[in-house]
Amino acid sequence: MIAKTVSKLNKKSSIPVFQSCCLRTSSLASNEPVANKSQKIKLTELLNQESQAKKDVKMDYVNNAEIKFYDPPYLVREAPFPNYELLNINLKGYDYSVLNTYYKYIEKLCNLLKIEVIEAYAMPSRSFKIKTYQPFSTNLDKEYNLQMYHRIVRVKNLKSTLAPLLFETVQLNLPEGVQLDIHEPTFEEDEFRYVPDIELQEMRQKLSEMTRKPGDSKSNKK
Amino acid sequence: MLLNKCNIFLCTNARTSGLISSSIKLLSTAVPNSQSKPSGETKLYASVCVERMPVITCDMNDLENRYSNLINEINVRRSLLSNHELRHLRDIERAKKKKDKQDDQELVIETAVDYEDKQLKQFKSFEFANRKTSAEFDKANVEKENKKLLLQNIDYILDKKLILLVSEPNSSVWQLPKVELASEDLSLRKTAERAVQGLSEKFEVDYMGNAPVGVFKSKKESLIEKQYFFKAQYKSGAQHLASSKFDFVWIRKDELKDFIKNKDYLACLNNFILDF
Repeated sequence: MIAKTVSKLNKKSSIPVFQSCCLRTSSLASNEPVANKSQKIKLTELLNQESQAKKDVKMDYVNNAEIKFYDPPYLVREAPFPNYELLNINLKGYDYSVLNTYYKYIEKLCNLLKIEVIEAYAMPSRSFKIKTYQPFSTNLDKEYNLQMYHRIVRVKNLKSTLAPLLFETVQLNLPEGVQLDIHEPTFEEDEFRYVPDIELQEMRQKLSEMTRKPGDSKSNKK
Repeated sequence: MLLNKCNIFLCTNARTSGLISSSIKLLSTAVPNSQSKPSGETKLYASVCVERMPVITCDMNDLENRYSNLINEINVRRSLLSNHELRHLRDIERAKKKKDKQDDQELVIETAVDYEDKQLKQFKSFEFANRKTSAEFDKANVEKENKKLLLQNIDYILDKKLILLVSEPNSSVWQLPKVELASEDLSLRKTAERAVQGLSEKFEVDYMGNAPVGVFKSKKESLIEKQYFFKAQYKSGAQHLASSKFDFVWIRKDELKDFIKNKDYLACLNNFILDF
């Protein structure tokens, strides 16, 4: 928007615009009073347009009403720098104590750097049973029960110029046995946190069967 | 295009100061005046900081070693008996009972001590890879000319981060690889990609993010140079780097000050090159 106003001012002769803003007018301006007035109006119009464009009309779809913000128009709500909206820093490891302390360290680090940490939580661990067999036979040699622990630090509005530095500190300080994975959060990952509700799933299945029935009966008739 | 950029910058500043003063500021650059001198050309460069991450974890300090040993001792002494130690105690009791009873029931059970010996034997038979390459030993003893060749080898230090420095042939000025912003580049990141591809086509690198990490502004007479730094991690293809167009070195962060003479440039680099 700013660029547009600037380009508009550049295109027209800028001197009369300047004079229209000032209280004193020179001889040049008095020769063309009509033109000045029209340009005067346009300047204020431009400024009004700027403030109007900033009012984003946000809708609250639950109540079907406009969310009204009563902030003055010169307050910009958007971040002035490009940023990563949501990022998940995944830490996985078989060693519980090391993983836990490292995950706490990352949380403290983000707070120090004033990065917004929305959530820092644990994902349910996956257990592995590993069996080694004696050579050339199916006799059990050794059996291991391992658990892969998983921690996630969710970060919001990470400044894109700070992002590479954060990724690097996390990577360089990784202790042995911890795997790092940084990506945007996916729906499946979020769903894995929650215990599936069996009753709800059964009801949903019944519902889908019921809605499918008229379609099925039609195809049978044909 | 440059004039527009100046305008935009002035606009954002002027908004806070006030309407009338803002219009005056806008016009100071917008009005073409044949008598005014040009403020100076600005050249934009994109440079890339290519780093090879450490391959193995670095050794502990003397202090760190002593502390970790102490903590381990304390933990072992404070802890309860483990399964292995309980098994050992039970074996001792069983042996005592055998002596007293003197039964002929000889069950061949593997005692805890036997198990421990077996595991230790397996541990000693395992060969660990070398933590230090042979090149690192030579570094201290080698002469200056050969030292440069040594530094060009990317594997000469495994446990620290290495940074790529490039210089024009026959010049003593070392810097990060940089390239000027061209009109066909859609973004600064594309210029950075060009900078690295210019070194060698097969040199593969992973860029960390699309935004620059640092800025370096230098002024020579009327020419203003702005360098934007991007961060990248080395992936593969270091053997293809040798060429006659430029000279290159892989060095650690503490050796940076030996190669880069310009203090401001060094200060700027120290801001975003991390080394622990």
